[in-house]
Amino acid sequence: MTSLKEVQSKESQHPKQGRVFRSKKKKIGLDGTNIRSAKFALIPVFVLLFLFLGLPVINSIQLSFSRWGGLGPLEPVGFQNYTDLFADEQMRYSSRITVLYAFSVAIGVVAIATVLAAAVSASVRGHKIYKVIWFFPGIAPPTAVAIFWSSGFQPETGIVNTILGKIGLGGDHAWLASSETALYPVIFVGIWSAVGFAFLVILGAIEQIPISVREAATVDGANIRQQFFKITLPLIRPVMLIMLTLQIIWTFNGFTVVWAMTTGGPADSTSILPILAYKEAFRFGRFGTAAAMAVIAGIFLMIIGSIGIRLSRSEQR
Amino acid sequence: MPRVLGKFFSNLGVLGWTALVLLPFFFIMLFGTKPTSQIYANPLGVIYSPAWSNFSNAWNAGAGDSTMGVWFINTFLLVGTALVVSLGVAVPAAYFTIFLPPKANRRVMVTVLAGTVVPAILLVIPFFKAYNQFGMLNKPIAAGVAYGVLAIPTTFLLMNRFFVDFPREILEAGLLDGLSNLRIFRRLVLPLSVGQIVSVGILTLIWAWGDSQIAIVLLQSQESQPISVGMLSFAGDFTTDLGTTFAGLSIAAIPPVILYIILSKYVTKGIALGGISK
Repeated sequence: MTSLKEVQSKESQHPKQGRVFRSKKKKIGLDGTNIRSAKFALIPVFVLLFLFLGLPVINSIQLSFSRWGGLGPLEPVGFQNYTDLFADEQMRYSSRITVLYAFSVAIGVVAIATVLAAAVSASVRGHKIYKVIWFFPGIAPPTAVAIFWSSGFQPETGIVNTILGKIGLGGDHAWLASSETALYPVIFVGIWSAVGFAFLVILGAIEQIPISVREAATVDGANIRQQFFKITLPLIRPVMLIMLTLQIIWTFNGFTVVWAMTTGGPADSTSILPILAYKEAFRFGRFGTAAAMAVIAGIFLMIIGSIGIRLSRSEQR
Repeated sequence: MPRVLGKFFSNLGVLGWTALVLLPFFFIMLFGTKPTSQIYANPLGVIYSPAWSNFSNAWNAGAGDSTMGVWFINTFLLVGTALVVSLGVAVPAAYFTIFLPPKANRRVMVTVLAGTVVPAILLVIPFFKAYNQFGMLNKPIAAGVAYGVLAIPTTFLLMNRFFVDFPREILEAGLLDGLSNLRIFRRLVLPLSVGQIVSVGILTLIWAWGDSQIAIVLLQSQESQPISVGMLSFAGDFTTDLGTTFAGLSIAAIPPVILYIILSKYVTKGIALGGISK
């Protein structure tokens, strides 16, 4: 039926063309028989998404209400896992640092990416080269860059400390060895590796601002800073909000960088929830508690996601 | 005057960030080619006789069947499978979905979109359980299927956005020539979509190449590990053979970067087009 409507709307634009198509029933053919193909093509999509996303989520929820050691049948325990977790000091600490880690990285990434995008779009030379180079940290395997940085942060021998020593800031900072400070290098690397992607997205948004708008501002005598705060920033705020939301979610989920830098240590001081859940399941064989952690994290992420989407929508209006 | 000052600071920021991005890669390659004793004695020195043996040491490091060469093969198998699955399933579906009536179309979109937000943390334990049950643990290809399926939602959405704007005139011309729907897709649509398919495929490739969260669970035996997991054996131990460690980091990090430089046109386009989703 839609195909017919489309034909009619087309007809009003190009009367002759539309009539030709209708008389030969060709236009209807294009949509009509393709609907069947669409159904065929979509079957594998839905089957696979159900098997690899739907079922596992249901399975996780089921596991979170059970005790399971990796073998044999599940033993239902009701809310036991959850009440245990809410009382657990490590779980509370991990939740706190996961949120701290995710928000610090996301805010850092979006702030730096926005400043860089604004600088580049204000016609810094070599525009295209920066687009390519700044994405390097996002391309290289996270395991490799994380190992590089954790070696760099070693006291005395690490390259970061060597350089700090050379410029007189002291070369014996053992950030990763102390549970007080170990999270900061991890946050730094998280930001370092994610800025490139956010930069490309935000630059894309800035470049979509019509040139006429900027020209008008320039004619009115707005300087670069005024243009940035009064024109660019308000217009790209929805994209920044989406980017911020996604970055929070990705970092919250981010296992690789933290695991490769600290494996959650020292003394679980950098065990963000994905790492805590991984250890709980695959080191200690407590799959039920691990699943409960995952469910709690999943609920939190859903809340963050829906707030972020709602905020960016209301901005767009 | 303030305008000049602003230019100065923005240039300084741009150059500073570029240095911060490039220096780690420089040091990885510098230390990878440097004799370990030199790394300790004079880390910043750039004049030294290269120790190419670092690379062969790194390449052959590890126990028995778990060397870098094996990790590479495993990564190729995993990433290749992921690409075949995600592109093979999502591209045709994304194309034919554009013909669905609006209501059905919206339902498909919402379902697929929901697939992009499921966090990996909710998936790894059930994945382990199911793969274990069916004897699929420690098989890079089987793990690649999981990566492929997880990439389907994003691939679908980015390709669909591209096909929606595909010029209908071309499809109609094919129909007038008497081509079947499948032939139109294969002969007309696919050849004209190569650029977009490459862009989207690279996003999947980067992710599957680097991720360790799922692989560390599904590929636990040493001889089945991909680079992202195998490399972890280099982590934490910076006391012994730094030269070998950094040679290993070079081997792992440089190929994706070179591939990216060659294909960067597609990557930046892919991100600009479909923007945000992973």
